[in-house]
Amino acid sequence: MKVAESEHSAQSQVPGEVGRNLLDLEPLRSLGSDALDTTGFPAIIKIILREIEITWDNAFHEVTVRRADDLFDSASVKGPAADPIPPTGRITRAVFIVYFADSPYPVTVQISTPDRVTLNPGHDTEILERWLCQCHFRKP
Amino acid sequence: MPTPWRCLEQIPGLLAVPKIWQGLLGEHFEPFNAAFFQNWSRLASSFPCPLQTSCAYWLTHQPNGSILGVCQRDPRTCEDVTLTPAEVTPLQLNWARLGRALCKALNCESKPAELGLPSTLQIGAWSADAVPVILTIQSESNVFRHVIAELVARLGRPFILLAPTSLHMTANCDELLAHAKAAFFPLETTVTMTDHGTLHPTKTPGVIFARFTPEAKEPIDEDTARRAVALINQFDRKIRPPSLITVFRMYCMDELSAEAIARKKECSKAAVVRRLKMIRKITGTAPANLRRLSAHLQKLEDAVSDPRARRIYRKGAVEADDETQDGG
Repeated sequence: MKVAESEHSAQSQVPGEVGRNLLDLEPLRSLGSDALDTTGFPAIIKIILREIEITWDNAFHEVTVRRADDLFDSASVKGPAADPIPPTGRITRAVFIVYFADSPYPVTVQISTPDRVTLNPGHDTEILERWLCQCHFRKP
Repeated sequence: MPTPWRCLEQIPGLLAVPKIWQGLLGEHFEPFNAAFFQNWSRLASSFPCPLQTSCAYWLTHQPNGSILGVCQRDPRTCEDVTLTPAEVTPLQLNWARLGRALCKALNCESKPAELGLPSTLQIGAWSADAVPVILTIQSESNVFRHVIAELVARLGRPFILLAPTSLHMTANCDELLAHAKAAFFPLETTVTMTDHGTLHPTKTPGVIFARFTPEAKEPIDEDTARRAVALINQFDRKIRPPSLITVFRMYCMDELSAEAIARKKECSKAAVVRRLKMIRKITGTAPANLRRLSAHLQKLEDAVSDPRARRIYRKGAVEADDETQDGG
């Protein structure tokens, strides 16, 4: 497994507020584990949410990071009252484990808002891009 | 345009730089700021990145008084920015002001009290029963649930719970509130804010909190009224004018004041008051409460004047004591 990372960035980052949120992680909050559905993508076996970062814009710039082998699975064991993702705060980063059909190893994919997708080189980014679009992580 | 309330649940601690509040409150910012925010005593140490990342500018103070915002990333992604003290002075919710405004809008008595719970305050009391009115503003659902559980356990009585929205309300929260006969009212559907920052209820407070309005005290049923009339008639034979039944009729049925009765009967007010006290002692009910059944009393009083009825009603009468000999 390659350890070096490459960045697949849609745009360079310059300050700006409007029209730049190309990636949106809100489906994780609104759809839960259904946001990780890979139906229609035979090249992807499954996707797991490994880590999530929530940012609150208060004066202390609080950031909460939650990590588990499988965040949604972990929450389901704790019961319905356990929120894997709080109802407030901006989801600014998520780390997924993607199992591709053509790879014996899982692949780590990190999505950071507004527009950064990071994954190990050598994998089919086009399939991943299509999956991101279908699951509404990438805004049209 | 959303109501101003929703954004309060987005900011833990309810403390953020003006730019963030402006973004969340939109057109509500100016009135809300004037009415319910106060400047924090310190400057922020970071400023949010406009790219909506988890990053923020570090703030450093310059010799000329300005404040420099420096990107925290290495290598830096964003250019440095120059900010003013006003831009980096956080605005904080003034709980006391918001509590008073809510009490005024909802016609509650302002009665602020710390409860020792996170972001939760008793702001007032409703009705003669002093039902506690509690405001809680939470960013996390589990904290909201814990606050409700602790309120139910500690107060052990009905209470009114206000929160900005019903975002955190679940069936479990409903169940907890039901145990204490408490109820939840989201501000976004309970009060509106004018362009001047004045709060108004969406319905009259009496309608909103109808279930917390106490029933009339000392309910007087027909038997009580019947007994009162019978007793008064029984004792009245030993009283000098104005008679008990006269005072009773004028005060309880005609709803005249003691002073008005005194004028009409050409006696002292003290004499009328003494008879009212006797009525209270004889019937066990305050004469003012007997007024509520004035129509019913009229019918009974008419019936008592019938000799056939007198035989029936006097069964409940008791012997007069010496005090009833007072003639005023």
